Amino acid sequence: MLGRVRCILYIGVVTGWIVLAPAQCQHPAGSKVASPQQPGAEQRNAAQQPVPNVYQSRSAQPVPAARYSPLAAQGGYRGQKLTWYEALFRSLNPKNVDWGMSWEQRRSIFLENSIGNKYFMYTAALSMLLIYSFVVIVWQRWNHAERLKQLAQGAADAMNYAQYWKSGAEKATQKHNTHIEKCNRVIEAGESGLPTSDTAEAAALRQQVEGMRIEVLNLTSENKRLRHDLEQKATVVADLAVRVDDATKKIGGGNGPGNGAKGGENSVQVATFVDRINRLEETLRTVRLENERLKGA
Amino acid sequence: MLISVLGFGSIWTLRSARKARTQERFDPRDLAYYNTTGVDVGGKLRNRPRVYGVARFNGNSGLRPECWHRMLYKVFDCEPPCTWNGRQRVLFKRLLRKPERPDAYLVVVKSEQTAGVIKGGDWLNRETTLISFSECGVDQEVMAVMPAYGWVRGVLGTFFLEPLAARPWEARLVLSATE
Repeated sequence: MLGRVRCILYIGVVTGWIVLAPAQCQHPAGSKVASPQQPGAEQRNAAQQPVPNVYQSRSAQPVPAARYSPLAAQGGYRGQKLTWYEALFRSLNPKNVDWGMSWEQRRSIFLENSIGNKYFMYTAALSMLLIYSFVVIVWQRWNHAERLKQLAQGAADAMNYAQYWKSGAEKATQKHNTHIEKCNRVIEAGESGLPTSDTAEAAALRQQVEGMRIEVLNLTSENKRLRHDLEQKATVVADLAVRVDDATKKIGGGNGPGNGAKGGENSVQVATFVDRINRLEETLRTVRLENERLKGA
Repeated sequence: MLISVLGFGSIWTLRSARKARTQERFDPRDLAYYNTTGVDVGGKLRNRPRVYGVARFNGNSGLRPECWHRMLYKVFDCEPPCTWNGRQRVLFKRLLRKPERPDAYLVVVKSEQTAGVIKGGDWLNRETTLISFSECGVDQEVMAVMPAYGWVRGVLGTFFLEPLAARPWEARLVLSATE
């Protein structure tokens, strides 16, 4: 808003300056009232002054021989000693026109009629102001249209939000009503609804039961694995027992006279076997106890 | 790590020399087969991943995809499952000539088997590594590396992976009666 005010203020200042400018321009013109011609007319007269004769050499005619031909006045072709580039220039400009002077005169006339002319400056400034005003108007209009578009987008967003929250509110209301309806049905059925703390406790208990169930499954798995190992070890022990029996029978059969050294060696082997059997039985007992303990858990 | 293969996913892809980035440097050993899960969508197999991952079989691992059913219950020497470029991957390096007792099993569970897995909470054993999980509507397919006696929870109940005593490289998912 402040920018717009400043813009309008600037426009007013520029307009005032433009309005005052002609008055200042007309004042010097008034001082020339004694002169019957306007400055512009003077300029036009200056522009209408005869251009200096570019054929002065022809019009001077200082000698009678030059009346019919300057070339003859100069003594004809015989008297000339032209270089090749002078001949070239002469072929390009046979009339010997001073183009530089001509260009300079036209340029000075143009500058006097444009920059040197206050009316030209005035009209130029007026044109610039007109263009600036036109741009400002177009810009204002475009800005206004943009703001209207943004306002429309904001309004559409607000309407969408309103619709969304209305639907959310309807859902929440419906959910609440359903819940209250269920509570009413529970109360009417005499199964008084559980308080919240009891519900939480039930959920915790349910979770605990689930954890215990998983633990039971893991223990069952471990139990089965141990039982399997136990069966394998029992098989090994039975096999060893059979082998020990066989060894015992062989020892019993071979303890005759004359087998003293061999008998002593066999007795050592038997002691080793017995010791091993005892250790295996001990292991078996330990494993069985562990199994019983796990079953009890 | 030894892994026994109990099943394959529905989608196979091949990395061949023609598809390699630099064909000049392509080594035949770089040939690889990728297996992942997929579901039937409009008559076509689509990945539709919830969790994306692959089982990679090297070209020289001994896998013959044209008779993949012979690869069932075979034990492979593998790299442990890991995350590769943001996706789960398990690398099968070499097929053992004689099957041994494996450390884990490559299991593929479909929704026809379990009536769908329960996604909320823990539905897999904590020692199980989920490789890939595809889902579209009610169709599901899960690929996991599961140790013996691992479990997976489905709508029908909990399934335990029980190996056979005589051949520990063979195992099957058994619905537990406890639940």
